[in-house]
Amino acid sequence: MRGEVAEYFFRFRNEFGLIAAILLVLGVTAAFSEAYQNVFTLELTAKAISRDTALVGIFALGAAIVIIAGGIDLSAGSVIAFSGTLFFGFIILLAPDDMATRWPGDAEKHFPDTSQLAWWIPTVAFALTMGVAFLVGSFHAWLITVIRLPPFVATLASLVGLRSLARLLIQDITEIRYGQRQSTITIGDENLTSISQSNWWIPCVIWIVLCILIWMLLSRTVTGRHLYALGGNEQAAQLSGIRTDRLKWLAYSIGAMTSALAGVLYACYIGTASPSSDGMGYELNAIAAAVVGGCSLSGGVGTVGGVILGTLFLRLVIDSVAKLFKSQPDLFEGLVVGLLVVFAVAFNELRGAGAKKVFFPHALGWLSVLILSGLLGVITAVTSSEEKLRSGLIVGVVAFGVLFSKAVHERVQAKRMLAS
Amino acid sequence: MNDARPSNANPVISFQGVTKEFPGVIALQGITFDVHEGEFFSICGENGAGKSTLMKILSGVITQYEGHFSVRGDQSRFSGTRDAERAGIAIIHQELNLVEQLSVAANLFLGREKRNRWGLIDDWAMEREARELFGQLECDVDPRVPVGRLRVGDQQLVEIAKALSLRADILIMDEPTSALTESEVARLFRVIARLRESGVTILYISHKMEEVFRLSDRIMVLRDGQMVSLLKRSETNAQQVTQLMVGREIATLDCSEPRRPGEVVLEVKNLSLPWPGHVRGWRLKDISFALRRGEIVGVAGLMGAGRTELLESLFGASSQVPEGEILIRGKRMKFTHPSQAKDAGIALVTEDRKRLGLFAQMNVRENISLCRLAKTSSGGMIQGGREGRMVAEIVDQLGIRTAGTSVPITSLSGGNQQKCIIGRWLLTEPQILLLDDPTRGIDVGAKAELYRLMDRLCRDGMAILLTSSELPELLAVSDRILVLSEGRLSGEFSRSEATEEKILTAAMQSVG
Repeated sequence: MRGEVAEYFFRFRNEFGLIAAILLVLGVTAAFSEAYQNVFTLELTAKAISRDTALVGIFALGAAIVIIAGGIDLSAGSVIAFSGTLFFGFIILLAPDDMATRWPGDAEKHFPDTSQLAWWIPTVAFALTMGVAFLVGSFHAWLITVIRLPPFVATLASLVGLRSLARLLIQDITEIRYGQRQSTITIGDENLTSISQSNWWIPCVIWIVLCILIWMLLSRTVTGRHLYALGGNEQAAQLSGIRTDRLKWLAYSIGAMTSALAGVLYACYIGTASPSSDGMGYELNAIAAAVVGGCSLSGGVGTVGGVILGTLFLRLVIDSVAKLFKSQPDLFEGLVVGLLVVFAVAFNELRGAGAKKVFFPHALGWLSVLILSGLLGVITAVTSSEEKLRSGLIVGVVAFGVLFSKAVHERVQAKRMLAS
Repeated sequence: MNDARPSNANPVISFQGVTKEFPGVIALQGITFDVHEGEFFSICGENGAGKSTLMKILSGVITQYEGHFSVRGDQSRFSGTRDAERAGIAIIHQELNLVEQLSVAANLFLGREKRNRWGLIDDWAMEREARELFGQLECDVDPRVPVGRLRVGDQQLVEIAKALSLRADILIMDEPTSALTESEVARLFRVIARLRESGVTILYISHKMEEVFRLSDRIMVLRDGQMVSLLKRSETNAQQVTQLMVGREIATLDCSEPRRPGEVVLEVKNLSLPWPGHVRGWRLKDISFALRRGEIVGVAGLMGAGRTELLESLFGASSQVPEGEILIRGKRMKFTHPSQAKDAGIALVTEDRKRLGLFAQMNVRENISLCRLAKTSSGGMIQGGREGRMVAEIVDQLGIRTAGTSVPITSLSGGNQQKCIIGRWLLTEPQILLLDDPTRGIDVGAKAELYRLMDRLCRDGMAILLTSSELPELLAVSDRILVLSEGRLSGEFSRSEATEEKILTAAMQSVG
C-alpha cells in the first residue's frame, strides 16, 4: 500500500515538515548551547519551554478555530490583560479582610488578605472571569453576524478597547479594597502563584486537555465539520442549511474563553495583574502559531496537530536564539516570530515552484537584494556579542554579493530563454 | 451561409503534435490541425476532453508542453499571456475577467490607461473610444456605468470590445453563451458575424450544438485529449458530432410512459419579494402556482426575470423576507433560514456551483455527507463508518465517476461535481427538489444522465421545480412550464401545448 502511505505523508506534509524543523532546531541548540548539555539546566530549560509553550498554545488553539472558521480574532492580547485583571479583581473583592492591617486614610477599613485563600474564592473568581469572556466572544459574534462588521474591525475594537477598560476598572477595584487607586493587583497566595516554579506542569496539563477537546471538536464532531465548511465557503454552507451565525458565535466564544484562560494563568504566573502591559501583542503570537501550523487565513484549512507543532516550533526557536546568543528571550521574540511566519508561509507557497522561480525581478528585485542583505547585516550586528559593527558589515556585504549575483544570474537566464 | 469561404494556403494557426501531460493524466496527445484566416472554427468535446488545455496553450496561459504551433507562419512559444496578446490572440473566458467596481471604459483600458498631457488618467478619451468600439459592435453600452451593474450579456460584450481594442484578429471564445439569454445569444452572433466580415478568426468552444452549427466552417471534435475528427459543417450534423464527442449513443430522455402527478406538495399563493431601492420595487410579484408529487415543473424566463429568486424564496435563502403564502403539504410555512426549509423536506441545488455549492478544500465524501451528517451522528460525533457507507451508496446510485471518496472534489469533472451536490441533497430525503440551472457548464453525456436521474426521482414520488437557461432542455423534461417575466408569472403551459415560440413570447412580454 505505497499509495496510501504516500497519501498520508502528503496529507500531513505540513506536520511532518514542522517535526523535522523542530528536531533540527533542537539538534543545533544541543550542539552549541551549554544549557542543553548539563542535566540540571536542561531540566530547567525543558520545564520553562513546556510552560511557555502551553501558555501560548492555549489561546493559539482559540485563534486557530476562529481562523479555520474563516474569521480573525485580534483581541487575544487585550482579553488576556482584561481577564487577568478581572480574575485578581474578583479575588480581592471576595477575599476576607486582613485584620492586622488598616487603611492609611480610614482606620475602620482593612486590606484584603490574599496570602492564603479559601478554595472557593479563586474558583468563583475563575467562573466569573470565564463568564465575562464568554460575553466578550458573544459580543464579537453579535457585531459580526448581526451588525455585519468585518471580523477584523470588530475584534480590533476590542483589542484597543478592552485593555483601556481593564486599566480603568482596576483603578476602581483597588480603590474599593485598598482605599487608593492603583494600576496593578498583586496576590500572595502561593497555591496560585506556584505555577511559575514547582507547579510548572499545570498549564501543560490544561493545554493537553484543551488540545484533545478541540481536536475532538474539529475532527470528530458534526459541528467541527461545519466549521471547516463555514471557513471554506460561507455562502455554500448557509445554503446547505448550516446555521453559520451560531457557528461564528461558537468560534468567537472559544477564541475569547481560551484567551481568558491563558490570561488567568499568566496573572497567576506573574503574581500580579497589570493591564497596561499584560499580554501586549500576544494576539499576533497566537495567529503566527496558527499560520506556521498550517492554518490558511482564508479559512477552511488547518489542524490541531499543526497548531500544536507550530506553537512549539515558535517557542523553541525563540528560546534557542536566546540561548545561543545569551540574551533575554523576549528581546528576540518579535524578530523570530516575524521571520518564521514569513519563512513558513513562503515555504508553503514556494513548494512546487521549482528551481526556475525568479526571486528578484524588476526594480523591486534590485531593491529587495539591498533590503535582504541589509536586514541580515543588522540582525547579525544586534545578535553578536562583540565587534558588532564589523561582523554586521561582513555578513551584510557577503549576503549582498550572493544575492546580487543571484539577481544577475536570473536576468542572464531570462535573456537566454528569450534568445532560444 | 457562406460555406465555400476561400481559405488561404497559409493557415493563421497551425498546431503540430502538441502534447500536454499533467501528473497522471495526458490532457492532450499529438494534436495537429490548421485554422485558416477568417474561419469560424469550433472545438467540441466533453468536459475533460482537452479543449480548455488546448486554448490555454494558444493563449499563453500554459507554457510547458511538447510539440509546437505557429501563428501566421511564425513558430510561437509564448512565455505568457502578454506574448499571445502581442500576436493578436485574445481569449474570452467562461468566467469573465472584469473588475465589477470599475466603469466599462476603465475595464476596457485596464493596464493600458490613456493619459492626458499631465500624465493623469484621461477618462474622457477612454470613454470616447469605448463608445466608438461599442458603435462598431452596434451595441448600446454606456461606458461610464460600473461593470457590476451590467447584465452578464453586456459584460461579455465588454470583453469582446476589449479584444477589439487590443486589435486582436484571433478570438477564442470559451462557452460564451453559458450565461446568456436567447436574445443576448442572437446579438452575440450578430457581433460575431460582423467580426468575421472584418477578417477576425474565431475559435469557438461550446457544448451547444445549435450554436456550433449556426456559424462554423469546420468543427474539431476532441475526446480524451485526442482529436477524434475534423469535419466540415456542411458535411455533418449535430447528432454525428455529439456521438463522436461521447463515443457512444446518447439515449434521449425516454418519456413514452407519461408520469402521473400525485397530490399537491407545494402551493404558492401571491408570493412577492420586495426589492428596496429599485424602480420596480419587486423582484417577484404575485406568483401563485402548485407543485405536485411526481411532476417536474420547469421555470422559464430571461436573465433577471426572477427564476433564481423564486427558488431562493421557497428555500428561505432570499435576501429579503418574501410576502404571501407558502404551503407545504397544506401547512403554511415561513422560512427565514435554509435549515428550516431543509427540515421541511426541501432541497435546493444552487445555480453557481463553484460559488454557492462546492467546498473546494473538502474531499468528495465530506462534500456529499455535509447536509445529512447531523442526522446520522450520535451525540454530535461523526460516525465515520456510517458516513462512508451512506456516501458510497449515493456515489454508486448516481454513478459518480471518482477515484474514491477521499479525493479532492476539485479533481472531478463539472458534471460529476454537480452529481455530488445533488447527492448531498438526496441524502436529506427531500420531497421537493429545487434545481437551479443544474446542467449549466456540464457536458452532453452528463446532461443526459441528469435528465434520466430527474425522471427516476420523479417517478419515485419526488416533486421537482427546475430552472434552465436552455429552453429545449425545459421542454424535454418538464410536465409543465411556468414562464416568468420581470418578476411576474406571464404564462403557464402544459407539456403538450408548450413550444419554444410560445414560451419566448411570454418571457419577453411586459407584464408590469
